[in-house]
Amino acid sequence: MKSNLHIKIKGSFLWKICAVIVLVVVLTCCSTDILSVDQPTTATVGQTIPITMKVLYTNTNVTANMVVAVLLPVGWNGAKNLTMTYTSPIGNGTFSVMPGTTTEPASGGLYNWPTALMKKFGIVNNYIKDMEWVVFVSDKAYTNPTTTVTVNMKLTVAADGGNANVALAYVVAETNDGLKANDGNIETSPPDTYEFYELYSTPCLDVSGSASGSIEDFCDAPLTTVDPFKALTDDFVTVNFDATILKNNLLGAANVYLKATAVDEAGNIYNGPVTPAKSLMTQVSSNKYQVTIWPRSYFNVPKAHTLSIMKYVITDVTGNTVVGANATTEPIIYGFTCK
Amino acid sequence: MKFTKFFIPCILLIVMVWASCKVERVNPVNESVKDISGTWKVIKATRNGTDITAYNGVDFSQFNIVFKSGTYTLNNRLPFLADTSGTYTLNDPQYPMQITFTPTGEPVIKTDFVYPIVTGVRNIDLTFSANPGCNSNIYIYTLQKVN
Repeated sequence: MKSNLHIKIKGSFLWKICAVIVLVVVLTCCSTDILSVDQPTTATVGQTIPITMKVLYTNTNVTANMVVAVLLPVGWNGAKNLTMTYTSPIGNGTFSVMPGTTTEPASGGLYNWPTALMKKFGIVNNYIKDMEWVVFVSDKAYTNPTTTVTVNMKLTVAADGGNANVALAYVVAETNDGLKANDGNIETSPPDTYEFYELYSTPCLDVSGSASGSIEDFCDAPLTTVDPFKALTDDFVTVNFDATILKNNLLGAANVYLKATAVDEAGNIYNGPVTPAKSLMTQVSSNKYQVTIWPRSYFNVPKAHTLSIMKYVITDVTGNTVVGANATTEPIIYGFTCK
Repeated sequence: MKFTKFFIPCILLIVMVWASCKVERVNPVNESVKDISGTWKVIKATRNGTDITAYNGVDFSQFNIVFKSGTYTLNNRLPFLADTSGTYTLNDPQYPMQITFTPTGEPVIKTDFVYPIVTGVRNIDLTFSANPGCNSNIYIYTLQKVN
């Protein structure tokens, strides 16, 4: 008998799509997707800035705490100067610093979270290694379908009192899977691919307002570096110059020279030595030059005084070709600090 | 009697053998007092773990420390744990583990006294932060006696 039952399901095509989506979501165990990070681009030393992060967060088969980690300069003491709370349809609460003894689940019990994050992501878009991942964990564990969680942070910047340009970065994860590698089960919506964790990098944050004058520039490939970054008048201080960074007229020079002046705590100005030989920067490798000085001797600073800053440029033997900050002729400032 | 003829010489033999064993007293060898008198120069310097001895601009050829009768003298000064001459003591003359420097008019500075023999020669390894320098920078100078 011919069936008279012809039921045409309205919008059957749409229902099929929906079924596929539901199927995909059901297959999803846990995922985090950082939708946005709202963060200022400038700040002053000691200021408390608000940062708002929106995360698409899913824990369907497991109960897990949410983890938010922030990449910060070590001197900013993030554990003390960063606070976090969250709001979401499934609950509100706070984050606290993850204990240093808690191991990151995907590391096989080998590393705690800060170490695992540094091994996996390093210092992301920064050039100075003096950074750490500060890890926070939510007060409650959840089992939840895909939910938008708003994380509200308050960060007091530059606890070490110095100016800085730094590219902050964030990782969101959960305590069940940690930094587990993608298993391909998660829907991708280009350009985002989200899985058990996500890394999000922000543009350079400029922190100014320190009296010391020097800027710890994490963001830019260093044309020159001074090692150690924290040193005083009676340390050995090494100045490095990489002529391959930024277009400059010293590239290919056999010898270059440090041309520096220094200022002490009383405002007295000292010049570097007259003898060029004492300022010669020899090539340590192709187009990379270096000189190490003992500032007290180099600038002839009396014992009663200590230096506050050094201003320097790199020159050729004639002194006519000058390379300074960002390859301009402006001097680079190094502050003698020890914090 | 046969027994006596045999027994008495036997006893005598035993007594003679026994008496010939000397108890040897082993006298404890006295550990020598460590004498660091003399002029010492830096043969190796590290800063925060990096060897800076041969860095361009670093010249240890003129710098030396003279230890004599409880005093030390710095000649041709370079960054060091003391910025002026003064007195020094070792915590134990035979088994020194720590050296204390007292620069004239300044607080004392203590550091581990590491005194290894390297290729037959005594070195002194001193770990310190420069005085006055930033205490987050750690230097190790290896000293060797020149005369």
